[in-house]
Amino acid sequence: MEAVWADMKHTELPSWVTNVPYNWGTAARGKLSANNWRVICTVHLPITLIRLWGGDDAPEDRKRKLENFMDLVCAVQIANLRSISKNDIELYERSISRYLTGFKSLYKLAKVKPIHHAALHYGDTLRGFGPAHTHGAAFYERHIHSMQSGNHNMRLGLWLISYKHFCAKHSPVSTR
Amino acid sequence: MRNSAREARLHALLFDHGEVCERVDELAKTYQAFLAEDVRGTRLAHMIDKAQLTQQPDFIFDETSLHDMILPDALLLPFSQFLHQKRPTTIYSTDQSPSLSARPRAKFLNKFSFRGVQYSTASSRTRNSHVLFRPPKLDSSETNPEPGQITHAFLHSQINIQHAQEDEGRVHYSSICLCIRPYVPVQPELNDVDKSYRKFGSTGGFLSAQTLGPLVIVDASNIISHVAVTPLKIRGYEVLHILPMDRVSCPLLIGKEELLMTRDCQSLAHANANQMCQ
Repeated sequence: MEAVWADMKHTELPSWVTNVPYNWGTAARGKLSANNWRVICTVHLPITLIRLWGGDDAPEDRKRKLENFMDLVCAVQIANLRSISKNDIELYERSISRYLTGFKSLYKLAKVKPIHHAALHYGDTLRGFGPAHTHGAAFYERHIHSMQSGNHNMRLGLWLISYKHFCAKHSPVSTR
Repeated sequence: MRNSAREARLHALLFDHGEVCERVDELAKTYQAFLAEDVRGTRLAHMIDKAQLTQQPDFIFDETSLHDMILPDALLLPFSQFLHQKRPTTIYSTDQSPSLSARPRAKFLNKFSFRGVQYSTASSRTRNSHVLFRPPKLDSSETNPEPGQITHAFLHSQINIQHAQEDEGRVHYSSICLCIRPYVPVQPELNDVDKSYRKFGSTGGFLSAQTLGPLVIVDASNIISHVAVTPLKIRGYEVLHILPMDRVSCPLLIGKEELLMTRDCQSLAHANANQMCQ
């Protein structure tokens, strides 16, 4: 963990990637958001873990765990792309299937949870509904946030009016 | 609905009523700037505001932030090479040959948006200046993507000398040029570590030296994606880890597909070997 913390302090990320708190994983920091975990797993952990576990002199079990983890990273990266093709979806399915097969053989005591099962079906969701941002929770949460931020005088039943207000305010139709 | 109606009336009053426009000119400008801001989590204003942003296919920049400058000497040679790759060019040409003439002045910009992703120059916002790009082709062979840092971005007009007089006063920006300093390849002593990163494709990234190479000029279309850079010290060498980061699409992941198939075959062979041993 210390090696990861030390490396991530120096990582320079593009502005569209959320920076992660340097003391993640400690009791002082507390819980992280799903997006924080995504950045840690797809950016910071590969940088350090490959350096520590990916060399020729690394123990064999570490190498296998690293390869297993990188299958997960690949799957997560594809699942979060803004634009997706059939080839990408096939690659996702192959990666997640490899990850779970490896997970079962490497971590004998770990249980397969419903989220693992759902991840195996996510390829069908991508095939049917397109990239994640079009049907993910963030899309709806953004609208909920915009409705909550309006002044509704605690009369939530009138949400439709608030919503119309939001749409009218940000409508691209010019009044001129 | 009342608020929306009030806003619409205020908008019309501020921008269409001549007398009011003159009296509250500053207020109108501030109000327009406020309206042009993006609402949290959306890019609506960015897409809609055509007045301030100049849009070309895949490419958006703020025309008001352009500043006219003479090309620095350091850029002249790479720029003439860049133009030569497009077609034979005489820089500062005065003869009547039907060639292109590179003007020593250009309009520089600090940031721009390409395929919906914002890039900046190193002096403006360093974290958005690290990119993966296709270097200019010196021959017909395919070139591998290289990491680098954007130092300058500018618009340049290429004017055909024969038509220069006819088109006097009209400047056409046919290309957006980026000056990039590529990172030098990693030291040979660390090739094995670099290989352990590269075997995971774009998800693992790769290593490069921390020093920057000679400046090259490329079209904006040569940019592939942003990269995350991490300075590391491995076996006493100071290197840079480069991780390609693209949230739209990742063409480099295609290489990963072949890699996975190879690893599938290896796993199968390994399993078969184990069965035979048992």
